[in-house]
Amino acid sequence: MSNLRNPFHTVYATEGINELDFPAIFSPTLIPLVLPLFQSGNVMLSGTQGTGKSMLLSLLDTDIRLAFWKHEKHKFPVETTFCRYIGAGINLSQSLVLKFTERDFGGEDSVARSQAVFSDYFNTWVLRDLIKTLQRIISNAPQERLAECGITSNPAALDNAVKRLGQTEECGGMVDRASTVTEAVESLSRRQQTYLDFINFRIDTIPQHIWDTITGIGEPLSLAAKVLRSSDVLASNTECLITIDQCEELLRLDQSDKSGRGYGRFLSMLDKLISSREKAVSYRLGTRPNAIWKGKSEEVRDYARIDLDTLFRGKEHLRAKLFQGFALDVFRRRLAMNGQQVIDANDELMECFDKSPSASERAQECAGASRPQRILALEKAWPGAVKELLVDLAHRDVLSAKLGEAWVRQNITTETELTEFAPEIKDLPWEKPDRQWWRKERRPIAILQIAARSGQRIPYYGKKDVLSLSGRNILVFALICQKIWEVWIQSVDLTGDTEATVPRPFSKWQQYEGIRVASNIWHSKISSAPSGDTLGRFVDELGTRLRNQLRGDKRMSYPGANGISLSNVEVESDAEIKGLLDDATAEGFLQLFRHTPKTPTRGKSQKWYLHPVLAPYYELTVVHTKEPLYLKIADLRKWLLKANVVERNQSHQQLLFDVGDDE
Amino acid sequence: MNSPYRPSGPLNWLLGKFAAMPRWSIVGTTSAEKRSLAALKQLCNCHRLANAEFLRVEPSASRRPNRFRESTIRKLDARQKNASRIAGKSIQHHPVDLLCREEVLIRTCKNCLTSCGTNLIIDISSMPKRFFFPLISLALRSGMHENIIAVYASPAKYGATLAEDPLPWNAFPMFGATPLTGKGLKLIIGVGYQPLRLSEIVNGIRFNPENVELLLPFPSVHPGFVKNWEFVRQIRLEIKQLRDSAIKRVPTMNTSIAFDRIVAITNNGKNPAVLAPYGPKPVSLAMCLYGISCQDGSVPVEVGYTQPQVYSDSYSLGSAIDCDGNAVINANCIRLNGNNLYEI
Repeated sequence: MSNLRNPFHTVYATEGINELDFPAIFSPTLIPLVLPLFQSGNVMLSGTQGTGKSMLLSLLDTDIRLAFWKHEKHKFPVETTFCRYIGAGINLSQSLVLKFTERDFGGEDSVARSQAVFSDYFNTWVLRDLIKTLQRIISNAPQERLAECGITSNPAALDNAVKRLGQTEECGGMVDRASTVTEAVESLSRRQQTYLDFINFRIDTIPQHIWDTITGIGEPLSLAAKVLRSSDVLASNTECLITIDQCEELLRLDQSDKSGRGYGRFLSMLDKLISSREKAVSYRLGTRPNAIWKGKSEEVRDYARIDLDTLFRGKEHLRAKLFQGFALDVFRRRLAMNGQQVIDANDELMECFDKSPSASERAQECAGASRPQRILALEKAWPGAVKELLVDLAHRDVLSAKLGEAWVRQNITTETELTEFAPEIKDLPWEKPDRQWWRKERRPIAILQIAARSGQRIPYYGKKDVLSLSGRNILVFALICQKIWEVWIQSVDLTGDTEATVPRPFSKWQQYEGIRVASNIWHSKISSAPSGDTLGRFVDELGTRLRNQLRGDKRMSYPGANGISLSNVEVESDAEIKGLLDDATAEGFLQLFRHTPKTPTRGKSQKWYLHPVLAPYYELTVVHTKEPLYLKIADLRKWLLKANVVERNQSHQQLLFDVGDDE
Repeated sequence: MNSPYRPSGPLNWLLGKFAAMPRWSIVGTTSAEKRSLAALKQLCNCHRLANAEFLRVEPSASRRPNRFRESTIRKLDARQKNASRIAGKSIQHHPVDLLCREEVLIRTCKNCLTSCGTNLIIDISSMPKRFFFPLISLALRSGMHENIIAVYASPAKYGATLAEDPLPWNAFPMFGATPLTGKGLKLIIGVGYQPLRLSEIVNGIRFNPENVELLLPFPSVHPGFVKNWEFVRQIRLEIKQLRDSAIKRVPTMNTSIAFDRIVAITNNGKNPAVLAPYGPKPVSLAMCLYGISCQDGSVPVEVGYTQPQVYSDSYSLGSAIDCDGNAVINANCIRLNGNNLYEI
């Protein structure tokens, strides 16, 4: 296999990669943390885009399981004890089920009728999928695997179960008294087509025969699961796991709906589904971070929540270790699939990317060799001795000189003071051991200001940089790797006789360039997000404001101003800005953390940072150090008004007038 | 493949061929674009207007922010006055929200068509695809219109910003299909100026890269071709394995050839397909007609879009003018003497 093939050619593991290749690239690192996915009980799986949600849910897909079973090298990554399930599902977008919000059902009971139709269409779709999936697995899976999963290998048993289902009052109408699997699938397809004709305005009303046999949400599925078990198609402890894909889209539509389409009525049906006491079937719902599930269902009692962001956001060292292990495993699998030798004991990330530069090295690279003193912004009024000392220091250690400039600004407020302190400055007080935290907190901002004054970009390279810029997002990690590989491939001299070999490590500039391109691409992805143009202006405005703040903070008083903090109460008071923050977080352009503010009067707060991969694009610092920028929602709104991100609306104008109005 | 002759050409020329049909109804759009009234004006100038039903597509009230809202509404008001000056009492205005529910959209389109006679012109120049796809479908299905011509007026030039904040991929009203899976499933993309979240569908697992085809408008004029190739580049970023042969050149203004191309790509409608009309309107019209034709033949085809929530008030500027000083209006006859000319 040519070494010029990019192992990260396709960054998404679930999209664009052939299902036959999936077993080779799938990383099982997270499986022990998400075991409820493969067990009885409903699960809500949430995570930012790129955290691996789809990849995990795809293990419930029968085609993926079949691909694993056929694979010679990679076995199915879930322990046999947790393999006793059959998966089926519905994609809320692709199934067009949400299109029922577009139709008018007339009369006072319009909402109830639309919910009934939504439920029956949902049931029809999932039941059809379940029967087809069983048919496929029975005819394609090896017998011993079927036995492991507790699924019959006898197709006649499935026919028998379907026949029994057709004789029940609940499902008889749906499957049209079918006596074989083929007949049942045809009946369900016809029912589906009738609904589709209604959705597409080819018929004006739902036919009476459907109203006569309409089913409540989940009811036929529970019954089907029981019949499948009692007919020995499924063992008594084999679970029916139903994935409801694109649930996050329904939640997003509901939260942003101002058009009166009433998506909430369908969410309440899904809530009914998971709060049902009937446990013959378990549901898997993908949701977005911060999504508030309104309804009767309760976490723990009705469903378990797995938040992939929280998994990675545990205690600092554990979090770093988990993501590092995940990234390394993904990296190794991609290399191996590309035909490269991978030795388990090796740290391929270190071999390929090497060490990242220290702060001093990075500062030196930003400053360049000629005229290092240009990194300083010395005031005319400062005594010559102080200026000379800092300039002299810049020739030896630019980082220390820049920190010294900030120290002078912070500690000396008047000219007289400065003259008095001039001798003391010769001892470089900011370099003393008791100042180590002061230095540590200010190194990133100092490097940023050095780069800005030198007209350079901060160079990022090395394993530590690649991982920290990935921001615990495996998609970003894959994107960075893809771009570094691409830069290398573009630089290969193809005219020589010798075959190109993948460098270990990649050169600094290949990594630096790859990271820069990846940053630009992640930024360009903002326009592909929901309301992407507005979101783009929002993220740009934040990025630009924070960059200007960091660059202009000559005293380095706010080294943590690469993020913002807002109090929860204020965020809740402005739905428009909350929506923007939520969208940007869900799509992986911002990262959200809880924040305990210094001033308790602010109340509970949250802080947002731009995703680290955007740091090269916006020229921001990566590390979250010290306090973020404390903002009031009104100030943020002012920024956004200027940038055309929000509109001045009546309610907010009203608010302005209400303030201080005694009457 | 034997296609019928499908008359097309400049509107004035085509109307000349319909000398026996003196009066025509027209359904068009009152828009911020100047070209939206070009066909109405030409029809009035040759005294062949029976009645005009014009959709006034308002910026969506449910969409905030919209930095073009106020300027668009001002332009809509001015254009509506102008339309009334041109057509007098023969024109009816039908206000409708850009992102209205499909039920409302279909009702409005039906209202427009109910007032129209046997001979119908549908002006798609400034009509959002969300409206003209179902409108044409309803017109072809109604049986009230013996002759139907779709017209498209070219602008003098396009604005710098066209549209913003596209919604997720969704089938047009009346053009949804499911389940669409299988190895033969084709994705046919009309190459336009803005890919508008198209990556969402391109990235979907439903498509094999070998089954993706691009309809590239050719020849395209400067600077349009630059945008077209940038669009192709964006698709290539998503589908790295896209074959060079996937790029099929189609004449920018020839709906008939574009239609035949689609028929050929889908093996005469045997392959199910998803059509993404991001290209020029005449090519989108071909996709629309192909979709309708497939529905009539029960072939699963979905035609959809990532509908922008905001359109620029300067989407296009002016009207293109031919050497005789007339607006350039391309007309395609899609039904003649009760016979649909675009069928598989």
